[in-house]
Amino acid sequence: MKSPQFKDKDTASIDKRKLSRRTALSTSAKVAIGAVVAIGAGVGGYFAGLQAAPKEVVRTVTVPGATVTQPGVTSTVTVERAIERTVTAPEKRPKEVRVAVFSHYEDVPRKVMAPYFEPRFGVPVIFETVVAAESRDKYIAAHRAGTSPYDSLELWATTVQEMAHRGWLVDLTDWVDRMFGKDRGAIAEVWEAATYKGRIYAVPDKIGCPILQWNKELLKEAGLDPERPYEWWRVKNSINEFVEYAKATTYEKGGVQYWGYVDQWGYEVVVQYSIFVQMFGGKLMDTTKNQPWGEPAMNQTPAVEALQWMVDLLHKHKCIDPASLTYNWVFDFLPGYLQGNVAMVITWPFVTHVSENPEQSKIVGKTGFAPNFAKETSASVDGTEFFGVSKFAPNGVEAGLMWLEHVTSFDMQRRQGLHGVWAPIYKSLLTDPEITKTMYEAPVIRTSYEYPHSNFWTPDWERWTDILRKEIHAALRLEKSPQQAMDDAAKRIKEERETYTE
Amino acid sequence: MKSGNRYSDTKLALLLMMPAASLVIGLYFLPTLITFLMSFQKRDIGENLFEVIMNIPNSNLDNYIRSFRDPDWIASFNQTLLLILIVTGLGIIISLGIAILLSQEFKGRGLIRALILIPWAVPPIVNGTTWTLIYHPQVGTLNALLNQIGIIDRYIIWFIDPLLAIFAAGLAITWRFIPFMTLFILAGLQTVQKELYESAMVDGANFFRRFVHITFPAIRPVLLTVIFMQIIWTTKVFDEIWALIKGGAAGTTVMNLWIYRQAFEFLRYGYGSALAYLLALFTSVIVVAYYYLVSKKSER
Repeated sequence: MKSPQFKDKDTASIDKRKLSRRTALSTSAKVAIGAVVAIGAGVGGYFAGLQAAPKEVVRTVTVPGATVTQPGVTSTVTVERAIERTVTAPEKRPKEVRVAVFSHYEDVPRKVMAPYFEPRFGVPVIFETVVAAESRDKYIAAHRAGTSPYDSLELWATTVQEMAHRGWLVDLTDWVDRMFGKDRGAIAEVWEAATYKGRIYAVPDKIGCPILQWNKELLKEAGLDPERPYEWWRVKNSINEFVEYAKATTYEKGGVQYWGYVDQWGYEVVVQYSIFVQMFGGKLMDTTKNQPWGEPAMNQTPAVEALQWMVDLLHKHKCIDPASLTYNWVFDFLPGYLQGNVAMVITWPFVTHVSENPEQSKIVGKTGFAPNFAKETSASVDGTEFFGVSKFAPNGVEAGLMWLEHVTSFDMQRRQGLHGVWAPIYKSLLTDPEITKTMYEAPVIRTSYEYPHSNFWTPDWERWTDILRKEIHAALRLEKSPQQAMDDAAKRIKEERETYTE
Repeated sequence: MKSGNRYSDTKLALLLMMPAASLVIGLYFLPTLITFLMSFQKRDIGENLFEVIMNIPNSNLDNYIRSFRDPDWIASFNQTLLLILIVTGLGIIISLGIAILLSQEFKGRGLIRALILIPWAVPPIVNGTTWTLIYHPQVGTLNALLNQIGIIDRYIIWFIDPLLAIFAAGLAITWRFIPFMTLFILAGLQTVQKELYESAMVDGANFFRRFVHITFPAIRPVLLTVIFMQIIWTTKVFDEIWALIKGGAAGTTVMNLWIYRQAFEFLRYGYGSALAYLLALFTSVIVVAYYYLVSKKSER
C-alpha cells in the first residue's frame, strides 16, 4: 500500500498526464483539420493552377473542318487551327534533354536552334554529335542493351524503319496528328519514311532530294541550249534529250576527257537507280503488299527498262564516265564537275552552293539546276533526316518530345532555311523570299517532291539493297542482261527473307 | 603451419589475379562463348548471355550449312585468297629487295632504316583513305604520275574491274606491311656470315648464285615466319578494303568485311558469328600448317 503523499503525488501526475492527452488530442484534431484543409487547398490550387497555367501557341496547322454539302457537291473545308501547349511547371520538367545530332558541318541544331531551347522550355539541351554513317550501329547497339543515352535521336529513314520494327521508337502518331494536323500535306511529303505499319515513329527536321545540275558553259560550247534543262522536268520523255546532250558533251580535247554525265553508281547505285525506276513509272519494292516488307518489283518492266537505260548510257552511248561505277558518294565525283570537266550530274541540292564557291569551284556563275528530267514523269529520291524519341529516353518521353516540338517549330525551321544547307520541312518556307535569297534551290526541291521520290524503305532495306546493288553491277558490267539481273535480285531477296525474316 | 602459409599465399595470389582475370574473362572469354553459342542459333540480332543460353535447345548447324550455299561468302573467300596471294607475293618480293639494299654498307643507312618504318606507323584506315586519293580516277596522283612518265595515255579506273580492284587494294595493304616484313628479313640477313659471301665471290659466284645458295637458305626460316604472319594478317584485313572499295562495284568484299556486314549491317549476329568461326578455323589451319613446317624443319 502506498503512502498518502505518494498517492497525492501519483494522482497529481496522472491528472497532469490526463491533461496532456487532452491537449494532445485537441492538437491532433487541429492538425488533422489543418492538413485536410491544406490538402484541399493544395489540390484546389493545383487544378486552379493548371487552369491558370500559361499557354503558348506553338504553331498553326491546317486541319479538316466541317463537311459542307451543297447541291451535288460534298466537300470538307480545311481550317486553320492554333496548336497550343501548356507551359510545363518548373517542378514537372525533365532536368535536361539529351539529343543525338548528325555531324553536318553547318550544325544548325547546336549552333542555331539550341540557344532558343532553354528560354522556351526552361530545360537545358545537351547534344552529342554522331557521325551519320555510324549512327545506326550506335543506336542499335544501345537499344539492344535496353538503354539509350539520348531522349531524341537524329535518324536516317532506313534506321527509322528498323528501330520502329524492333519497338525501340515511341509511336508519335497522335502527337503528330495534334502538332501537324491530320492534313500532313501541310509540310513536305516526307512522311513515308517515318511511317511503319501505318504509324509514325519520327518527324522530319530537314529535307532534300537529288536534282539535276549542269555546267552551262560546256553545253554552250557543244552548241546546245544551256537553258533547255530548266524545262526538262515538265516534258515527258525529255530523258532522250538528256542523252543527246550527254553524248554531245562527251569528248576529248587538249588531252582532257570531258564527260556528259557523271553519277555515283558505286555503293549508292540503288539510290540513283530508284530515281530512274520511278521516272519510268516503276517501283523497286511494292510496299503496299506484305507490309512492312513489301514485294520485290524490280523485275517488272519499268524497272528493267530503267536498268537497260543505264546500261545503254554506259556501253551504247558511252556518255557517262565509267568511273561512276566506282564513285560511292557525292564527294567522289565532285572534283571533275567542279573542275569543269563534266556537263551534268544528278546530286544533292547543297552542291549548287559548292559549285558557286570560288574557293572550291572553277565553274562559278556557269551552273544551272532544276528538278530531274522526265521519262513518264520527273522523279527523285527522298534524303530527309528525322528525329525520333527513344523508348528508353533517360529523361522520359516528354523530354524527347520537347526537342521534336522545338526542331519542327516554324521559327526554328525558318532558321534551318536561313542557316542550313538542307531545306526546311514546311512548303511555305521553301518559297519564302527571305529564305530563297540564300537557299536559292529551295523552290526546286519543293517541285521535285511533287514527283515520285520514294526510297522504298523497309526494315530490311540494308539487306535487300545489298543484293540489288550486286545484281545492278552485274548488269552494268554486262555479265547479265538487265532482266536476268533483276529476276535474280527478286529471287534472292525472296529467298533471303524466307530464311531470315523475324 | 607451413601448409597454412601456402594456403594463404594461394588465396592472395588468386585475389591479386582476380581483377585481371575478370577483365580477360569478361572482355574476351565471355564474348567468345556467346558468339560461339550464337553461331548455332538463328537470330537476327545479338542476344545477351542469358537469352543465348535459354535458346540453346534451338541450336543447330543451319548457319554453318548455309555458309556453303552463300554466293557472297564463297566470293569473299575467293577474294581473300587472291588478296593473300597478292599481298604476300608482292610483300615478300619488295621487302626482300629493300632488306638486301639496307643490309649493304652505305652512308645514311640508319636514317633510311628508321624512315622505312613510317608506313607501319600509319593506322590502316588512314592508309586506306590515303590510297583512295592516290587511286582517284579523276584527280588521283597515281594516274597523273603514270601519265606524266608516259606509261599510260588515259587515266585508269582502278576499281572498275574485280581483278584490278583487288590488285590495287592489295598494293595499298602491302605498302603498310612492307616495313615489318623488311625489318624481319633484314634481321635474318644480319645473321648470315660475311665470310660465306667472300668465299663465294672468290669462287666466282655472281649475285644471283650467292643469293640462291647462301642468302636464301640462311633466311628461309625467317621468310617462312614472315609469310605465315602475312597470310594471317591479310586474312583479317578490313580497314583498307572498307575505305577503298566498301563493297562497291568491283565486288571485292573480303571475308572479314562480309562478316562485319552480316553481323552489324544486316544484324544477323547468329550467321555473322558462324562466319567468324569459319574464318577463325581457316586461320587456325594456316597456323597449324606453319607449326607443322617449323617443327619438321627443327627435327631435321
